[in-house]
Amino acid sequence: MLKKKWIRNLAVAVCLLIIFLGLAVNTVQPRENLTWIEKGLRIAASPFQYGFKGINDSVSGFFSYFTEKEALQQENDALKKEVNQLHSQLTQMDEINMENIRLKELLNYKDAMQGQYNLQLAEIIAENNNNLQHTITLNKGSNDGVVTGMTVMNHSGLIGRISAVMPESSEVMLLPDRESAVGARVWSTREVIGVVEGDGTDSSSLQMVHLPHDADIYVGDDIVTSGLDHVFPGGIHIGEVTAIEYSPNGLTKTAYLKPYVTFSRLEEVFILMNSGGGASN
Amino acid sequence: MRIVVLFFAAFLGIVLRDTVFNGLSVAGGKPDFVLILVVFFAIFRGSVQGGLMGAALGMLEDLMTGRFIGINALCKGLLGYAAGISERNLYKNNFFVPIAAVLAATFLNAVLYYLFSVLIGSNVGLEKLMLSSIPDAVYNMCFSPVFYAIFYNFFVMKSND
Repeated sequence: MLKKKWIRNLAVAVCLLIIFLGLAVNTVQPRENLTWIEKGLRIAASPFQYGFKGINDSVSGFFSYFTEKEALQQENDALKKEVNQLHSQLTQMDEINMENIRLKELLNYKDAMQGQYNLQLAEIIAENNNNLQHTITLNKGSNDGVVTGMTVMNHSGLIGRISAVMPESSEVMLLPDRESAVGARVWSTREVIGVVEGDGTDSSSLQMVHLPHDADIYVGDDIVTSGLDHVFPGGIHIGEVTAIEYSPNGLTKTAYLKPYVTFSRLEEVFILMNSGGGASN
Repeated sequence: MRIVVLFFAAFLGIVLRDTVFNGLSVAGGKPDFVLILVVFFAIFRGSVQGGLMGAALGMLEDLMTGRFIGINALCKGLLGYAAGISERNLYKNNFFVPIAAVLAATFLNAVLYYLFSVLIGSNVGLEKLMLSSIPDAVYNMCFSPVFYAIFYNFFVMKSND
């Protein structure tokens, strides 16, 4: 009895195996149409699928909050990095732009002064500004034909003179240096001869000393080099008179000047190659 | 009545797997509710009924979603039969029985699927199939205790009443 049942079960199993395998073999190739029972079941599943889709969207939305948060954090970090890079590039661009403007001004000045001066462009490679001295170091030296005593200026006005020369560099004593002095006069009248010197402490202020008490000089006058010292050529702008002060004894007066050159923002300068050449220190 | 409920549960399980659990898929893995139902049914009802129910629910799966009709019917039928063999030997009150059975059944299902697909000339790649079975197995094991509790209630508690 048990054996008979077992044989019956085996027969059913073999039949099912053959049927299912047959079905599978028949459906292994792509079919154009589904059977009616497949269509029926899938149609029956549709309402459930639509219903569950809403749940799926909510569930996906809930979990995507966490996954997207991480992705957003990463994106945020990457964007911050990019912003920093762009900011750096922008600063560089600004720097280049500023340099371009400066060089253009210098070039225009050089072109304008072509007949008058032999100008050599030089870049500042070091600065030494303190209460004791105001000097800068240029990237041009004796190999470029620079000698001690040459005038250094830019399109704004006088800067100083070459005080020491090395083969590949040179040192410039700036106007505000306490050792510096330049013969000057009032540009408009070409009169009033004096000496402009720095007080060694403030690079934004110069003073024109030894002026007679009745000298014809006023606030706002433009002061230029006189050329009488045989160090600096005449006619180079130095600064504008901002104040005049009489000495206690009333015999002389001092004019305070605001230099045209901003000594704290120097980048490129001109060396007047045909000035003060060979002058010994 | 229980059979109808079981079919409807399998029907819903198939729809759920392809809708809700698409969004909850972990490493490509999704729970195979039909497999869980077949294994537990077979554990409580024996190999013959387990095999027949496996074939029937596998066929339902094939008809609803399958590309090759009959493959899942064959796999689940054999799984049901195999799970049913252990009916008399398993201590059904043990909590780890359903988890271990479902874990084994998930990998066996992958092997059978591979064998039958080779037999009908459609090689799906055993390695890929086995790798994708790992997250499936984890998912199935997670659902096992809940399903097992329901089955236990249906087939043991009610028959005692």
